[in-house]
Amino acid sequence: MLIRIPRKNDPKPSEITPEQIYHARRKILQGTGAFAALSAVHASGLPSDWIESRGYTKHEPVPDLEITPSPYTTQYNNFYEFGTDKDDPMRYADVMTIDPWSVEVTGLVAKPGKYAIEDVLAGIDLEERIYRLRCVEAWSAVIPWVGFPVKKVLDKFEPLGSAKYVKFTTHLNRDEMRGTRSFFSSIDFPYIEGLRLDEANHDLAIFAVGMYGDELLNQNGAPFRLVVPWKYGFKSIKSIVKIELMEKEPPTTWNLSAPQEYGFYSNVNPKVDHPRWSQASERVLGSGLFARNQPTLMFNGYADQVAGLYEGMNLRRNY
Amino acid sequence: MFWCVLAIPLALLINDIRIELATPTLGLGADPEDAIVDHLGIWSIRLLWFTLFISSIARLTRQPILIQFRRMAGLWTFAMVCLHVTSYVLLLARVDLMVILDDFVERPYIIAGLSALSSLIPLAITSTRGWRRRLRQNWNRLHRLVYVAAIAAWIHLFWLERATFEESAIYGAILILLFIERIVHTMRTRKRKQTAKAVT
Repeated sequence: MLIRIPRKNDPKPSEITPEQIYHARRKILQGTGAFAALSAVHASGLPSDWIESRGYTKHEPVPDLEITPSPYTTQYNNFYEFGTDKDDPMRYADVMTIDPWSVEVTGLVAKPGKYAIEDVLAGIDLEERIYRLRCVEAWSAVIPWVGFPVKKVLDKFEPLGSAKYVKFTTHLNRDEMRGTRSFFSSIDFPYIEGLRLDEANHDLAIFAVGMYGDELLNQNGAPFRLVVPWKYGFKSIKSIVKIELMEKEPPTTWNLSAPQEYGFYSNVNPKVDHPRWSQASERVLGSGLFARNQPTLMFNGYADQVAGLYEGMNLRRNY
Repeated sequence: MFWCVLAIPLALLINDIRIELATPTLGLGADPEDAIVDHLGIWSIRLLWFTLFISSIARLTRQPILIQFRRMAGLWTFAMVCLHVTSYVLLLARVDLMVILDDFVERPYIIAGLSALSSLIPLAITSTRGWRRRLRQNWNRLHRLVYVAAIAAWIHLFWLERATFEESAIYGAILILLFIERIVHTMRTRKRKQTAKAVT
């Protein structure tokens, strides 16, 4: 909705940090020597600007992928824990405590336990992955993530042979997440998503810790989130606190809320229609008001890499 | 000037489009097409509810003079609905007949929305004084179609919402109040007529 009565704690447009300043903050910190001091204070969690200090591998740019400017992807989000309007996450996700952060690993693994985020990330090399993101709501973006394959983390905890599925759970703190206190909500929290283990182990499935070379902002799922580029965006669960290896398919939030609309697989598929949005084409964020829609590609353009995962499956039934 | 008030939602949108064209995302956000269709849609519902409210408030305050504003509010509602549908065709469906047909078959909320539009068309046509005179009593009967339009519009909104039912709950509650006022009013007039008969 467009007309909104400004709320007391809303940022004025003039208060939104321009991207250059946002990126310059690390220089300011380094320049004053505050960077070292901050790292010391935050000894229990991830230091700020740890991605830059740690470094990451860049890949060759993909010629036909034009990166969406960051204001689009950081100010227009679905993170219903903070409200259902697209700018709610930008306004209200700031209060989420992400430091310290720990991840509980349970289920069919040899090494279950509650791990600090630093331990989960220890020894894992970061790399940039520029992926298309296709939302089920028929808009799309191209985002340069910083992350690493999901498999690298899962292998650390040694999944047992009987594990067939992975269940992910988003952080839930009702005091900090105003959307979860809404009387009108028709979905349950915490948010839950899942993958088949072979999907999670596919090289394209990553855990992201950053975007545009910087740490994730809270509205984008800080401190770490899933990114599965060949599935609709809601499968890429944010701010993960729990990973469970299971034998059976886990129940997932949207599937529970409206099973006829959101299947477990939710692979991007222009041929399988949705009761709300045509999935044949998409509006590319940042392409301008009167730009043409772009046709949606099978598996969001990743068919060559992932179609093999679904060989012999009826994708219309397993939507 | 009453029409100036009714034009505010449209003026705000035009201003947002102007800002958006000058500085992308500042006027309409990251998904401007969706924002425009959404704005015109929700204001169609607000204006329709407001039109229904004019009759109620005229009765409740015993100021029948207020009724004269109803036609203009109704026509602005109709214009808003037409713009909403046009923006959907131009910006979301991109004038692709296949997309529109597909939407009509696959998406029930489109059918609800179209029912609302089609119940408003005869009302807009017969809104003139001449038609009112020609139709006499039937004019009132015909214009009860506005309730069909309101219910269809509410269903359209309800089916569109996901994860929350906040908007449909609020607009639904207001619509119920407007209906209750009408039911009470009809019952009262009926009673009065009966007592009048009994006396004579």
